Amino acid sequence: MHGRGRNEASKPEETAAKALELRSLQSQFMSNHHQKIYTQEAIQLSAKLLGINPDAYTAWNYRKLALVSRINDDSDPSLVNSIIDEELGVVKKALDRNPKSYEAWYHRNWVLSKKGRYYTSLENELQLLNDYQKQQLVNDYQKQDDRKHDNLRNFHAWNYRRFVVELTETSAEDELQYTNMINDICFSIYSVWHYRSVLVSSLVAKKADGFMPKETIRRELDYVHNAIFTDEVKQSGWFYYLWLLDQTVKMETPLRFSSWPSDGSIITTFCSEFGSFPLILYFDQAVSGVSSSTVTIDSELNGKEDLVWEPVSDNKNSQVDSCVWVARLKFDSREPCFSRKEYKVKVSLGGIFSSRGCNLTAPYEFVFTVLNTVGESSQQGIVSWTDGFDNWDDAQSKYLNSLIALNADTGFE
Amino acid sequence: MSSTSSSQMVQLVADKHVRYILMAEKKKESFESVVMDHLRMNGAYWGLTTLDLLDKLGCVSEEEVISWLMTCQHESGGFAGNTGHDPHILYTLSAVQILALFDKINILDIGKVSSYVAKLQNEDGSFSGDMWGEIDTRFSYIAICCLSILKCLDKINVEKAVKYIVSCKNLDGGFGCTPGAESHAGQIFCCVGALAITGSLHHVDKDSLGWWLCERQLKAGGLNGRPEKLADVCYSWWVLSSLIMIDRVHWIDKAKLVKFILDCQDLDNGGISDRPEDAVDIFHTYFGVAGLSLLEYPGVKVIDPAYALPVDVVNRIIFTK
Repeated sequence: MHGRGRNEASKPEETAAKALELRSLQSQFMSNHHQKIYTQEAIQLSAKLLGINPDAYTAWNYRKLALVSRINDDSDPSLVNSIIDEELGVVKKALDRNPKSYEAWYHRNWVLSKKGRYYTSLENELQLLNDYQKQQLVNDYQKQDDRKHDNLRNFHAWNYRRFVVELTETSAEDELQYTNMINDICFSIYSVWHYRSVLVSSLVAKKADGFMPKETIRRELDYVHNAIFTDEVKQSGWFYYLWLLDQTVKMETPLRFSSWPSDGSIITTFCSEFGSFPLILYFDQAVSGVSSSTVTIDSELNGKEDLVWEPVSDNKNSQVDSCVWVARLKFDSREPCFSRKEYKVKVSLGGIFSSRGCNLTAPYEFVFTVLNTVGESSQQGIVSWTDGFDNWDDAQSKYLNSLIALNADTGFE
Repeated sequence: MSSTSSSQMVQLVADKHVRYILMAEKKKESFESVVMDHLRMNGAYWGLTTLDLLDKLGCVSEEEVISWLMTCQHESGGFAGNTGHDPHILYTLSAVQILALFDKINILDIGKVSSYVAKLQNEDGSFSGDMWGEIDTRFSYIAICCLSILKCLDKINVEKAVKYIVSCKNLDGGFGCTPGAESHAGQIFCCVGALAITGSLHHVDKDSLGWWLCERQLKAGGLNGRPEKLADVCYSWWVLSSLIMIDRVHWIDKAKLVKFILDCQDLDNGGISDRPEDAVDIFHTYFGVAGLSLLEYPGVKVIDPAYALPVDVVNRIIFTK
């Protein structure tokens, strides 16, 4: 469907003969498939069909059914290995015909994920892939010189590579070395730069040795400069460069945060004798390491108990990064220390980092006041944490009312 | 697109394309046709949608198409690429889209078809293509588009489906087929289309993606699918519809793209090819005409960028029970 010249017509008799042969193969195959015939002859017929037409997806399904019918968990390992070899051979022939066949690549993936741990030649798989990707195409129809690296541009091969890397537990560091090797061959393969960005991001996120954010970005900036100066017309290096610059900007930006209660605010507790209210920290980047050792509370309210900080996210694991962290500050008016009306709470933060490596540039603290008015009515000018907007003063209420009026006029919801 | 034309400017030879499509249907025994036998359902969707865009759907026998189409349905509810083949989500969507063109979705056992699609959703929100488990964001789009047309989106976990798609977002703003896979215009269309249909476009970095997409336009005006690749008419659809869905279509030179598509026509025999002077096929004929529709070329009906069906067909689906 792609890249065929308009006037490249073959002789009609040849195509008619080819069409008849294929039609006959297809009918025989369908008959075997529907009758669930998995003899050697039938299986070989499906291989012949796939060699001519690698995209005939039903034939790949048939081969999977045939494999499952021939081997199970108790099968002899040498039988399993020979069947895997056979399947991989069929895939190879199909890929020679159409290197972009989704079905062929998936069949290889399926066979190895089903039976890969029995396969004695699994470690060869990565080497086979390396050879395939580095192979330079010298066919006559490759009219342009840079098309000789088309195997490196085959995204199916890169997707399959990620599968094999996971199956063989190859390290991200080793794969990064591989991208170095490929870039030495040709600097303008976008797939390689994309893969590099994924590997670098994951190594930085895992805080791997030698991959601290700032040093990594600086090293990569030097590396990509080579690519850009070698061939400035090609886009691939430039996209990677743009991504690195974006990371640099993000890293230099100081971490910012806000809190509830905010600095200088007054909280009224008047509903119960004891209870708790939330202390919320909001950061402009996802951070980890928020705990009672990085966030200290200086107040008579809290007593000796350490606060438990939890990230607000789907993942309840406290190691996860989150922009929002919450702890509960308890109070008990029955405690002797709670006899006074007013308590100051000082919260100090330090040593908190975002996943990009940004941190609070200096220890930071904020102070708020807790008013104990058990049994008394609320006062003016105080934000009540129990009742929402009811206790706003006149000026604040007028503002809110004017906003509501504006909404009514314009009909916004 | 201005209606003034110089004698040198190529026009859309719509009648020739209609004739090409109708003739291709009759050439079932050519080698090219036999080799594509297994994806006839897709070919039918491409051909019929093109005919509808050129307002010539009436040239085919609705009865003949539909009776063949129904022979492709499996007992599981899914549709195969052709009679006798195995069911797959790819052909299930095409079948539903073809029935939508003819306003005959009501002949389906909607519960059965939608269950087939819904059962293909995995725990992490992704979708498999069929019982053999291949996962790809193409299938996420197909499931969401298909169930949306059948009004059964509530049969899947939409939130998880969206979450999986977002996990396939790359550092360049684009999307790949699985997490970590590189950005590709076809996958981008699928992910952006799925996010559009589920009201989740806020997950897209529109400026980053818009820039990556508009950089697909090459000097001759055609679009490629990834950096360093050749222009291809089918990207007039994948890239263009994505740009429209994220409100960034003005970032490409539309007039130049129109000229590129028109230059890919076979002016004698009809049909459109991947690039000028290459062999034509139904696939590229559809994407060329669909691309021209998105570019508001006169004489071509308006197409919906997310559903890939004429807008009047989509409206009919949305506004009827």
